[in-house]
Amino acid sequence: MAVPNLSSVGNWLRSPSGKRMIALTLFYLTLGLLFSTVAGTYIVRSEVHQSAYGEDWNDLSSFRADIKEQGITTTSIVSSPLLLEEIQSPRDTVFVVSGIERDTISLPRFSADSSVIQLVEGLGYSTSEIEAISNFVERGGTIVVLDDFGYAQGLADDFGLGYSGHQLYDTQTWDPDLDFNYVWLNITNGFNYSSTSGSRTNTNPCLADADSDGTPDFLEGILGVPTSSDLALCSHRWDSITATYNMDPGYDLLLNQPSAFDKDSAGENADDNLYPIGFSTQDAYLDTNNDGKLTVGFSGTDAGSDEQGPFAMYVKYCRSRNCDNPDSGRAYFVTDGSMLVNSIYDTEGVESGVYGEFNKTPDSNDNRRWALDLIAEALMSNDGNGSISEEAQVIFDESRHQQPSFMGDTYNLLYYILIYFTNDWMAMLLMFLGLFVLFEFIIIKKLDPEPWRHVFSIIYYGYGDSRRYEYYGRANKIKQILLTRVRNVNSLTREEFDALPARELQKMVNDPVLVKFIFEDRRYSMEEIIAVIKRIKTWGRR
Amino acid sequence: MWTRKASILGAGGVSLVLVGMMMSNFQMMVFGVAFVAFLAVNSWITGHGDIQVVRTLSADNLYKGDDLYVELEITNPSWRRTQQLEIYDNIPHEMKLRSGLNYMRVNLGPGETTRVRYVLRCPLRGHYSIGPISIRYRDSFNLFSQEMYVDHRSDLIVFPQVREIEEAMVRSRTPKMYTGATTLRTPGPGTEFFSLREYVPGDPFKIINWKAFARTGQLIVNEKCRDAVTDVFILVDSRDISRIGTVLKNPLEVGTVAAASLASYFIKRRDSVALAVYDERLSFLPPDTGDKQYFKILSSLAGVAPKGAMPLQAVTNALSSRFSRGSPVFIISALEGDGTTIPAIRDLAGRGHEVIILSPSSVDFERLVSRIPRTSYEVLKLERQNRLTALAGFGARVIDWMPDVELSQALLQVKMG
Repeated sequence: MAVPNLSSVGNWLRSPSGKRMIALTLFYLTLGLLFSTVAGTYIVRSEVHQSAYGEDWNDLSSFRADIKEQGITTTSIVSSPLLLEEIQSPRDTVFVVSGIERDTISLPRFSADSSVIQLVEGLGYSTSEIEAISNFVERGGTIVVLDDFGYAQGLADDFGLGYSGHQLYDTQTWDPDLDFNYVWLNITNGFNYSSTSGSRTNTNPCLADADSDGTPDFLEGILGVPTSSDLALCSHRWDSITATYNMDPGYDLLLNQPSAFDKDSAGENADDNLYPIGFSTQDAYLDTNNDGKLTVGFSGTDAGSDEQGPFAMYVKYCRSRNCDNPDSGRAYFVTDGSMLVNSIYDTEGVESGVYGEFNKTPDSNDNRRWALDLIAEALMSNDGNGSISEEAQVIFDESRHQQPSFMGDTYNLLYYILIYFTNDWMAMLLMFLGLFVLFEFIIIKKLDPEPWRHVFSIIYYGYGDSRRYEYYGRANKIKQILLTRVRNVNSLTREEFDALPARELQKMVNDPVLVKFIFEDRRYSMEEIIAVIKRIKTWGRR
Repeated sequence: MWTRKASILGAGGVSLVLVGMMMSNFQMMVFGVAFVAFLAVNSWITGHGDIQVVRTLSADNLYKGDDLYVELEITNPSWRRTQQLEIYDNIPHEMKLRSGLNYMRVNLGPGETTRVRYVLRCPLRGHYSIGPISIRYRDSFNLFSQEMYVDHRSDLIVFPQVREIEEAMVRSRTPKMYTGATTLRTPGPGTEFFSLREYVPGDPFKIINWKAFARTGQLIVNEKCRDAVTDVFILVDSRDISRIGTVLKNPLEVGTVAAASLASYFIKRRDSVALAVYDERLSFLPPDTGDKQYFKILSSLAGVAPKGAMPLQAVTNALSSRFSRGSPVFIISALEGDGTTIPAIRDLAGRGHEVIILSPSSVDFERLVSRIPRTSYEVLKLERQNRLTALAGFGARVIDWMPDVELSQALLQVKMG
């Protein structure tokens, strides 16, 4: 086999086909590199956090298992919360957002303000998604938003809240058994919505006790030990060992690296039905200078110091005043995205080593009771029967979590785009335009293969130099041809002819018109030229 | 490849699904999915182009203007039906379809055979190739089509026409010194008997006279008279300028006809004929006789194409050592755009060659395609006449060949100095 030598390779590289091949190769390499770079960010397996479907210490599997154990359907949204618009019975649905790890994809949309089209979205959720979530609450749904430094700001804004985005240090309630990152949020009564409302425990079916006999209304009339079906969604308050029902409306919530709401936006605001319930202590500080340390200064005046508390950390929003209407929508905001993760939520599991070995184990806390109370408040009837709708469901938002499965994020992205294009007005308009263009393109550009037929076609290569025609009409050229004719007829060489005296030439021509034509240098009209040519043609024949 | 119908159906299906999702209209989505599913199912049941094709031609070589009979035998060797199969035999666009069709749409069953027959007319000389065979198969609903080729080609040569010029050559004023093979009264290779002589070792057995051997008992051989053969040189001008005129009527086209006719005439007379074609370079076929030489000359003339601008003097200089002494030289040229014509012909005539110039009138060919003003045309003609007169003055026999004049007629119009 012949081995190509270097010179032949070099020649090929310099040839047009070689250059074209190199250009094509470089183009496809660049394209491949770009594609793999973009796709790689979606293909690479990532670490999962705060997923209801993960079993790790920082996932929410224990919380989901508790809900399932109570006979409630749990599901998730992996594409976009825009799907909340499709839910038929929002009254029986709880939407749980635990940690918003990813920003939204900014796609253009119509806006209500003067800009008409909004090209860039806010952080976290897109405006359409926030509208969908807000509408969901309007229609009676319940949302639980747990986030600290993530992307919940846009959603919180819609409810009149503002996440500070700084870590909170509480010098009084931090857990000395763990470390300063763990902060206790102690709530004496989780149902004291405002300074004037008093305790509204009757808004929660697990605590509603109209006759104040220490037995919740839904257990009235049940003799002996209630069964799990009697307890319905409040079984977490029943202590089977002591056979007592816990009617405590207060919670000791353990938070990990919490943030807090801005003071300006999280004050008591009964007009907007926004109720801050859980607060840090007076000696809590927000790391507003982001130095990772607690910098104590004169509150609010020292530029370099951290802001001093108290700060709202748990805010409840109800569509109805003081959450009196059980069918109205609710929204729970807590400034810690990890308060329901297995390592805090399931302290028994942590102690038994289900989630691996820990140096320090958190103390038992009321996070589980708080979470299941709000599930009961949302899904259980408050009419004393403790009935639960068959359509009751809890939806976990997984659309803002990294997906553990291969290409899971790519799937989510595609699904997100699909949902976006079928739910957002701007996107729908774009899609209609796209479909219109697609159809136009197909109709104009997509041609069926041509029918084959033989075409007899002899390539016409008519040839002629029309530029010389004018030259051949000039008197000088005609004169030259006449002289050549005279020379040929008289069999003279060019030299002999040139040496001829004029008189001899006149004799040879022997035609006064042609002699005059030869010797007279003037302009000739077309008629004269034609006459001369005629004479030249007849001249040789005499 | 998707047809337009499939593209619209696909886009329609996807659109219905999307719009159905947008409007939460389940029926619309079902329709959309049905469209897409219909496409998907049909994409699995397309036909195939796995067929065997055999092409038969009535001739491999033919003369310009002749008819060619072509037959295609198509067989489906597969166990599947071909579905809608289109078969198209690619033929050169210079050939005219006289009868039949080179296209067929069939649906061949397993092992089934069909035939396509058609007749082509070849109005232009040249080297041609028929094929490959294009195949296009579609599914039953014409949603998808695939194209492929069966690389089966048949080569053929279309020779220039050969005119009968014997009578013209006899009647013309061209010199008759090259009267074909003549016998000389000297022994040598030839056809006529010369004498008997004794066998000498080395003589071929086939010339032994066996009757004489039987009679005398001695080996006697027949000796033949040596045949004298004239070498005729034909120079064809195939320069770019020789394409003046139309594709069917131009100096080169009529020149190849003239060269083929002259070669045919002289080879029939058992003369040796040499052919030189000059365009951007010189192609020379050394003098020879016989059918093989005739075929070579026709093949060479079939392939000439106008290109280049090689001067005639370069040709005569290059061939000067190959010209046989006193051999006649035919120059077929429009004599345009070459300042060396006169010195080249003067040299040839000076070396004792009989030079016959067959010159298609380029001005008149040009007039077929270009509107030449009357005065310019007359002046151009005068200039051409001057040139021909000058050449005749050097002893060449010049034929001014007008486009509408037959070759045999043109040969009778020899102009002498």
